[in-house]
Amino acid sequence: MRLGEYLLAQGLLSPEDLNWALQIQQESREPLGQILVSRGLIRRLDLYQALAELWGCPFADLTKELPDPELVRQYPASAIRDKWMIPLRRTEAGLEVATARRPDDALRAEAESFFGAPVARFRATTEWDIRQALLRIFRSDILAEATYGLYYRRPEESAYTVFTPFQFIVLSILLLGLIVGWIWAPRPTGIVLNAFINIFFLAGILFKFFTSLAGARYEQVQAITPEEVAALRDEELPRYTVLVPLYREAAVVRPLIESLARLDYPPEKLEVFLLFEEDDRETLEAAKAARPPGNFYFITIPASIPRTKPKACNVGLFFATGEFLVIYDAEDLPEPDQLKKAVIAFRKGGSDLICVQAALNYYNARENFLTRMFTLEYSFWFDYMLPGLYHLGLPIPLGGTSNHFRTERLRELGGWDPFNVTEDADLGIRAATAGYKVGVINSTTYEEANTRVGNWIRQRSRWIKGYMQTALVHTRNPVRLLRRVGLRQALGFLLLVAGTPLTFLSAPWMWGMFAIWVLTGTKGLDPFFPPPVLYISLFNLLFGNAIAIYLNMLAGFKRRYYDLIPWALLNPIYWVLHSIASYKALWQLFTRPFYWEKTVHGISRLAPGGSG
Amino acid sequence: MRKLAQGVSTLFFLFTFWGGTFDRAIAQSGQWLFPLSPLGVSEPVVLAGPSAEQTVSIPVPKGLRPIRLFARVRSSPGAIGASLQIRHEGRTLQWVRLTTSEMRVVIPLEEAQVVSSRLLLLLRLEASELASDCAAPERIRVELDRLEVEMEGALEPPDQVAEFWPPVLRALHIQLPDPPSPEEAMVALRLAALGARLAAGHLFTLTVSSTAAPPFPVDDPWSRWVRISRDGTPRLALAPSEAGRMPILEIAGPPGSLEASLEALIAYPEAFQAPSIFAVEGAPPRSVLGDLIPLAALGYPQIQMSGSGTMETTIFFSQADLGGPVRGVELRLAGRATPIPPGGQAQLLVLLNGGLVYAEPVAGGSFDRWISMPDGLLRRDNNLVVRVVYTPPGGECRVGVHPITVFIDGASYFQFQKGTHLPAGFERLPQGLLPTFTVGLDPLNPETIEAAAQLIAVLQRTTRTMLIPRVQAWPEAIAASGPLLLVTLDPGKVSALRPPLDPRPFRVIDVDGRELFRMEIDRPFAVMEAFHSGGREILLLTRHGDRPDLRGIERALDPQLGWYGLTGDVWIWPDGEAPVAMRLRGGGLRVVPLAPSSALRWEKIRFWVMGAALIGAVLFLLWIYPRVVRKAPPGSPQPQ
Repeated sequence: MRLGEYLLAQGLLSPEDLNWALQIQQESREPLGQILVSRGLIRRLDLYQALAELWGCPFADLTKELPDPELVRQYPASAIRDKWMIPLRRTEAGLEVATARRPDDALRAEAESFFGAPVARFRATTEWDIRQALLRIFRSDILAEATYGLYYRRPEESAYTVFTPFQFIVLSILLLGLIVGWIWAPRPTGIVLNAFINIFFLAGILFKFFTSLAGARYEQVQAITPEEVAALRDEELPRYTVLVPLYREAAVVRPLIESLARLDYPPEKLEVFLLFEEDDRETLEAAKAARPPGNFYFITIPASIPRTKPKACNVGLFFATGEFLVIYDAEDLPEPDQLKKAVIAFRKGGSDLICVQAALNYYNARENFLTRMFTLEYSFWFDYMLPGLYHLGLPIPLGGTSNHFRTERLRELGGWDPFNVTEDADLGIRAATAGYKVGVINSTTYEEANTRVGNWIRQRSRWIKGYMQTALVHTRNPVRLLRRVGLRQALGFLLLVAGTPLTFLSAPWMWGMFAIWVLTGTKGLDPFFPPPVLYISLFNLLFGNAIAIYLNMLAGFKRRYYDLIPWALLNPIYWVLHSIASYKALWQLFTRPFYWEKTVHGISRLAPGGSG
Repeated sequence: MRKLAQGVSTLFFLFTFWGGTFDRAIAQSGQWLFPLSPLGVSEPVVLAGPSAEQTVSIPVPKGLRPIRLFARVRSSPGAIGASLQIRHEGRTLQWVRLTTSEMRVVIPLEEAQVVSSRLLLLLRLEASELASDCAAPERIRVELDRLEVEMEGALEPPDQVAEFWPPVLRALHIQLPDPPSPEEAMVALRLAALGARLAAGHLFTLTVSSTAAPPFPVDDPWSRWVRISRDGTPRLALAPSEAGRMPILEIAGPPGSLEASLEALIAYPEAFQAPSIFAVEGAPPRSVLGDLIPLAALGYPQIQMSGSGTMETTIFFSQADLGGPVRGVELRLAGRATPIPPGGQAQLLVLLNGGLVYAEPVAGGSFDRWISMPDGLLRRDNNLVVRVVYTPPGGECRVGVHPITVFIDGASYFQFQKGTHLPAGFERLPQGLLPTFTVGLDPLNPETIEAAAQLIAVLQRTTRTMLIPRVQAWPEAIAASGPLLLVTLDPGKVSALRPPLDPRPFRVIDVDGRELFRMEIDRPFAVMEAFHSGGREILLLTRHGDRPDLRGIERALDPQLGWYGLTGDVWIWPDGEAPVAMRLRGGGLRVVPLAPSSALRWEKIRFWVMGAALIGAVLFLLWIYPRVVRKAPPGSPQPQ
């Protein structure tokens, strides 16, 4: 008897649903069971119990009948994950093996070869059961891999060590030299420091300006057209994994699930992993209450330090079976066709294209001053800077969400660095240094902009701290960096990733000096501003800030946020917040380098998809 | 560190002036072209009036021979048709008819004779007969500029001490032992004065260092290098240099012998072009009541004015030219005039600094007058104008028709008494430093010596009288009687002398309480003060803070006017800003201390705050090291 007939006979499925599922199967060529579960037509447990009957082997509920841990640990967890079969126990006649695949002769041969022992009998079980069993038995290994995998394989690329001894010595010399300079030769010290800051500032401004110009040219290019998306057939689509790390997100988990369920992608080819922290029962319960579709899987991340998003993602990566994989945040509202656009982009981009980044923007842009500025900033970043960086072939620091990967390439890279609090930016640079390309697609994910200053500063301090970590990691061996990516990319990386924190750390001093000069008319600062430094400083003050504001305005035009454009003039106030966040980040870099400053979501007064 | 600074200073000097010289003199295959402006010929050379003359003195380095003089001649409309004669020792080298308002002339010099390394040319302008005008002689005016002389030959370095000094000195470098002694410093300062005398009328650069470096190249004929060294035997000699370099003049000897060597150097007649004094007929002085100095000694051996209309000559003299501060000055003016034609009228006028001090009709024949100069008109630097206003019979002013000639005899002299009526301040100097003055330098090093040398050179350029500094150790210098020049980097060491400026943070206000000037603690500055203390004229140069470099004082003074540009008694030079001069004593201004500012408070605690920051930073780095420089995850299992 075939599965469909059996389910009809058991009353688990209506004839209409079966017909619909069969129609879908003709298009997608996916197993019927997969379609039924992912479309919510049947419960996974019912399906596999039915399959057990059909396959003629008893069903194994691995939550009640736990496999022998010592036996299971003799085999690699990743192989068990890939083969979807797990040894339950050893008997005199051989192994008893639980599987989510049809137990035929081929599977028996494969199992006996893999386990190195005869298979006494097969037991049917669900993928979910196997996954949970692996997580329970290999808990410490999966956790160690997710946490320290990168450190042990490529310690030079891990932010676990904040500073190498050499970097620390250089930092100490610079810091102490600066203080000694201020004691014994304040004027030359001040001039050198001033010149360095201003030249760096100038270089940063020009870099952003010219990168944005390149990005503006890209404006004319529609990377992926709606026609290309419409031409895609379901059977051509690869399996896709969506990772959504969640921590204390009970308030937004329901709209998140609804939003992800709206993705225009065949559910049977889409697996969505909701990654919960072990101590966050509230979010887990909220997710359960939302009754997600059958292709949504809950994975509980064992509690350990560091409790960071990248660590959760690494666990999710371990279980991912999709050819491609994407990260979304809890409050994300991706445009429905984003996954298809990403698939097309990967197909057009060649095998060295490891990642494509979708744009981020905010659905609550007009809620208050902060959300307006945030929106302008993000519009500039994703509509000008990232396309510009892409166009110029410079390393792209990925945004924290809506980045789509080739799963196997991501595993080769070592996944995310759980000690880097902007693991996404770090991954983008790591991809560039490994010779991979990162692309940008014309699709947007809408998020919730921070509406509260404290929350904003917490979030921004984490980002800036992460940039500092990333800059420190990738400058540990400048020669190697140059050799791998070349001078142009290395400079681009320095100006963008190292330049951003340095700019905001140094800006308050420059503003302070300017304010003192304006208010008091003192000539005490004159010795620190010899003519060349003064001219650069004035240029930065007058033109640099004007350029930065102008670029923000352009971003408003491109998104047609015309009402937000005048707000760009208030950028200097917004930059003050950046500087506050930068100093917090600097302090945490030394005192709590891996601490993940949690951003609270779901506090916007505006509903997702509301005001835009 | 100090040696490094000196070395850098010397290299900077060499770079600046070798380069600076080469760009002005263009040498090619034995031919040289020298612009005359940098060599003391002030441009434009102006000839004004129906009949006017000017002498141009061209310095000629050893080994070269002048062959041509180039000049641009620009004429006023009234001078069109006049003739310009270039004469040398009574012979006309070139005769130029001025036909256009601007023309380029080339004067052949092959037949001219060089005497004492100089070539003297007389430029004479003679207007056409119709052009002369009694009422407006200024309508006839000719200017010569862009004067360049072409020479040929091969430059020869001096081979004896008497030939050491060039006819024009543009740069002098003095090399001292390290550390220098007061005697060696004194020799350096006197050389600076001597150099300034040889550099009258053009830019002059003076540097002092203790660093050895290659001397000037032979093809830089206007620069000289003098080395003062401590040696066993007294010696004044030219030390040969490597090929292509000028020899160095070496003044060496054991302590106590250097000044004698220096006097010998100054005594060489070739060192100066001493003016000749001619005896004149006429009445001998009736009596000599005080000191006197003839006009010839001031550089005016004989004055002749010829023609019609207004004719005048200007005699410039400073009080220092008269030997020191003077008052009660009288001029004995002797001379003669050709007869005044019937119907004509002539008048002799004498003006001091624009004020008329004497007038009388001229009837022809000799005259001999005593003219009193009121103290109220007498300044540090004075212009005495002797003017003859002659109206020919019938107002006929054309050239050659009824001219008269008036001679002023070089034996005419000034008679005066010692003393001064000028208020204490810069205007009392340099005459207040005569005949000799004491120099105190603290610390005694090339930096303070160079600063003092530059000051002396600047002062020397205002007078023909040689300044004679006597360097003493600081304690003796402070206690010395007589005029003082003090250069110190520690202003606290001169507070007992009570200079006019209280160096605390201050502001200067006028009688109405308006603030004219403010100096906060965070503005380092140098200050030069001229004041009277303990019966002594004192010139003090010091600085508050570590800047500016006192060796830049010559450049900080007005480049055109130099010492002439200074008035008042205090000159403040804020670092990196334009200096300002003012009179604080007797000028109606008041110096008011500023309340301690935050900058002042910060300056007081800066060292301690930054020291605490340094200690804090070290402790922080020690504390943070194990937290941020990690070797391996603690106790974590290594993944499979």
